[in-house]
Amino acid sequence: MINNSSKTIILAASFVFFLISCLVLFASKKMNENSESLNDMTENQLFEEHLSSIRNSIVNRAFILFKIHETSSPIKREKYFSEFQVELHNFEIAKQALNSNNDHQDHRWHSIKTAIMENHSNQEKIANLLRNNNQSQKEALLINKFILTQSENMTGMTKLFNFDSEHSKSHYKIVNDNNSTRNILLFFGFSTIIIGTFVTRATVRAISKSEANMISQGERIRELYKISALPISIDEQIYEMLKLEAQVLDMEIGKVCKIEPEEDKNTFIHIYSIPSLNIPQGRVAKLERTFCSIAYKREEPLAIDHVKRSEFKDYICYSFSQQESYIAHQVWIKGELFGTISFSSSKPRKAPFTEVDKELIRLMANWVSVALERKMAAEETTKAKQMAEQANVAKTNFLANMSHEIRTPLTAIIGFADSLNKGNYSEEQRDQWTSSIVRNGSHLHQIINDILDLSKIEAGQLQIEKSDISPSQILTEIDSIVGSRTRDKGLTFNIVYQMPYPKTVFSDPIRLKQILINLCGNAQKFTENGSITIKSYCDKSGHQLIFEVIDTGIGMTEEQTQKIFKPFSQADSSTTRKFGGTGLGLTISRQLAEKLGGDLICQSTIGKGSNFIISINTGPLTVIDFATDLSQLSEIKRYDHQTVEYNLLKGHILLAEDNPDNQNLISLYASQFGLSIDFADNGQQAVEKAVQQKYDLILMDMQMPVMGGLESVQMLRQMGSTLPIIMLTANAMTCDKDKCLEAGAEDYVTKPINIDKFYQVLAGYLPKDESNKNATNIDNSTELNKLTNNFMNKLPSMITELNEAVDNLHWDSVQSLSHILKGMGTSFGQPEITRISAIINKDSIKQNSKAVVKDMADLKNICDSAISDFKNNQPKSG
Amino acid sequence: MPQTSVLIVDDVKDIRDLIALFLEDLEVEIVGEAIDGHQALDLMDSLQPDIVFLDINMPGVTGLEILDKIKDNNSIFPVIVSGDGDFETIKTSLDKGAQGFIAKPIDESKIIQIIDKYKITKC
Repeated sequence: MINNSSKTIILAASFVFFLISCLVLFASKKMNENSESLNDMTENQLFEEHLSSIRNSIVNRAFILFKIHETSSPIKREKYFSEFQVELHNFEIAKQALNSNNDHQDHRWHSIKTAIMENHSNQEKIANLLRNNNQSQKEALLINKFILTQSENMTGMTKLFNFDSEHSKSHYKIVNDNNSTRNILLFFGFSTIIIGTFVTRATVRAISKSEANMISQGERIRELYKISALPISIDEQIYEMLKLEAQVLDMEIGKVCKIEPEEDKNTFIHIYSIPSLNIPQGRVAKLERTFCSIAYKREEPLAIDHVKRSEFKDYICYSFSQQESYIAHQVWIKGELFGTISFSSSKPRKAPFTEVDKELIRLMANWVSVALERKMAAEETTKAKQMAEQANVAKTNFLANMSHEIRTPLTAIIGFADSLNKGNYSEEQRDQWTSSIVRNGSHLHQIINDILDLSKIEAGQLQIEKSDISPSQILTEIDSIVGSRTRDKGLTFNIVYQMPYPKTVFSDPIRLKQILINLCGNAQKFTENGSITIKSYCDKSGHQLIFEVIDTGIGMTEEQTQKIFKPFSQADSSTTRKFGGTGLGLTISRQLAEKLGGDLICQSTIGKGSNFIISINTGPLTVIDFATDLSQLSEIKRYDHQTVEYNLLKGHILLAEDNPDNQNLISLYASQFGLSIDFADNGQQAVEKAVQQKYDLILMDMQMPVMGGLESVQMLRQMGSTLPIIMLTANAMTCDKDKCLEAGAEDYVTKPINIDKFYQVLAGYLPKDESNKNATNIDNSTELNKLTNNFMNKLPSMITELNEAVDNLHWDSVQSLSHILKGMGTSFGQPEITRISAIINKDSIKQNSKAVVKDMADLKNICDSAISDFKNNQPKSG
Repeated sequence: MPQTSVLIVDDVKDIRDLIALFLEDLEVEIVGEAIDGHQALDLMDSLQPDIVFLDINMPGVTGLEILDKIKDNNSIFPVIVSGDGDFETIKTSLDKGAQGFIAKPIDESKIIQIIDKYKITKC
């Protein structure tokens, strides 16, 4: 506005100035011209006057002369003569003036001058003649003639003075001209003044109006911002602003609305209304019935001065709300359309809404956006703070819980072990105490595993290894693990499949089992009577395999079902005491389910039971066979729950482990699996044994004295051994596994060793024992037979040679011969010969003749029987 | 493709024959046999075998000394075959550059394993 005004002012002023300049120029030019003309004219006039004088004098003199001639009275003659003199005098003056003046009048003066002078001198002559009363006849004739011609002369004379009237006309014209110029000037001057006045007034009015507007807009904005500076809550600020603006606009209602179009809802989250209306905050109206339904769709402010006379008179919102005037603007929060801010009244506007009003409501809408965003942010911060505090409390509780959880079983373990150590117990007590130690050890193991698992998950370190697995097989295994315990408790345990059911899916079997065991364990813990059922089915379209673990236990409230998935929190604070557990199982299970591409949720009814629903991603289903009948799921068979049977494995393994207890344990497991086992106490021994003997697999502990596991593996690989090597490690962290694999091991087993897992690993590298154990393989039979033949034929002479050396105490010979024999025996099917030769070799180095002699006797016996056996087994030659 | 060439060095014929027997089905060619260290060195020079099985205890030049002599030769794959299976011997052999160590009495599986290792390292 201001800019426009100044432009207008400048334009107007320029125009006026221009007009005035033109007028002044015109006027001054005209006036100059006129004054010049007037000057000329004045000069002319003088000239004319002089000429007139001369003419008059001449004419008068002519007349006087005539009168003199005519009269006979001497008195009159005298009078006339003096008049003549006067006229003569005038003439002289005029003539003088004319002569001394007027260069440019020269030509005129000159043209008449001669005539006049001639005339003048004539008149002089005549006058002189007339003075004489006595005139001669000749003179009298001259006078008569002169007088007669005078009138002719006068006419001619008059003609010379013709320009008279014209000049006076010009003079008249010029004066008129001046007058009209003056009039024009006056007219235009006045017009300019009047126009100028109007323009100035209009401009000034416009300026002051816009200034007034600006002042009022500025004031209004200032007032509004004053409110935002008040130390009151954001909600109160919004209320005060609505109130202020409503009053300024003279509207009955000012409100901020939250609009939810899908639900046709318009909530008046902030509202000011005049006392007689008193509309409460938070009122919900149908969106359609309010003008906000129109306003919130428009980006520009919506302003209706008089609804009845507007395009909106037929709208539903008019008939419902009965509002005649309305102004509103959209409110956006965080980039999304939230609702509106609006002012309305049942009365139409006295003056229409101005641009300032619209500008102001736009401003207010922005301010409300920011204010509401701020409020939301503050609320979120508070909530986050609360949650952080809660988490902190939970963590502290957890630490307290854990400390207790760890100490309790340790106490039992140490306590009972100590008692066992001291002796003095009955068999029954021993059984009780040892089983307690095992039980508590297991529990402690579980707790530590849980904590480690959770830490791994939280650190993002958990590895998922997917492969093709049979879910029905896993469920069968679960049945064997969980089922017996459940049935022992007097509950029924069932697995129900819904057809069609996939024979295989692509997932991680270990983690899936972990989840199912956790859930079944929980179900079992919290169910006293009734049943536990696992229902499983496949959601093909969603690529999900679903397991529902349903129990008829104590159940939980809605609130509790939310709590149990939070780490370190169980359904009830007394749960740990009553039911045990770590409070982490479900947390871990849910995280695992998510990592397997699914989820874990819980539905429960207190007093009736719970249903935990796990879903996992199946992987691509297009290549999967689906079973349509239970019989097609072949792995389903009832396990004999009393004895766990393993398919026997075949092989001879080497265990490198320095701890004798572990040696005992592993040897126990190995024999259970049908394997024979050898021991080495450290890495060096392991390498030696591996070199000297034949094994099918090596179990290598990581920590050993003299030479550790990793180094040993490296050395074995360097030597050229390609045997499968399984590391035994106490650390389950990923980096350790990598170290094992880098060193050259095939796989690893974590300590403490779980027998099932141990079996599974071994079964991966050792063949199943399908055939008769005693069968031995002999390949290359004919060739080997030939060589064996050779050996056996040479054997007697070698023994004789050795005997001689022993008798003669030729220790060097004894050493080398026994060394050779040692290197050959086993290769030709006589391990005993190798064994004894080795002993002889050692003893001969020590030069222990007594031992050597004894050994030699043994060797001879063995060789004799070997030779005779061999001879007996030969096919008859010849 | 040229077959892997093998040189067998042992002073006992039965052992040499045994090794040869176990090598039969393994797609290698036995290009020579030596009964002592000197002969071994000569044959290694002239025949340039890929793999050499070396006994340690031999008259004249021992297996370990031979290892020293061929230390800088990268094209040969020496395997020690020894009646001494103690740790020191193994370590010394490996330190001297042996690519494999087989203890006597020789088991066929060890021969198979070392040929496997050779094939893997040469690929």
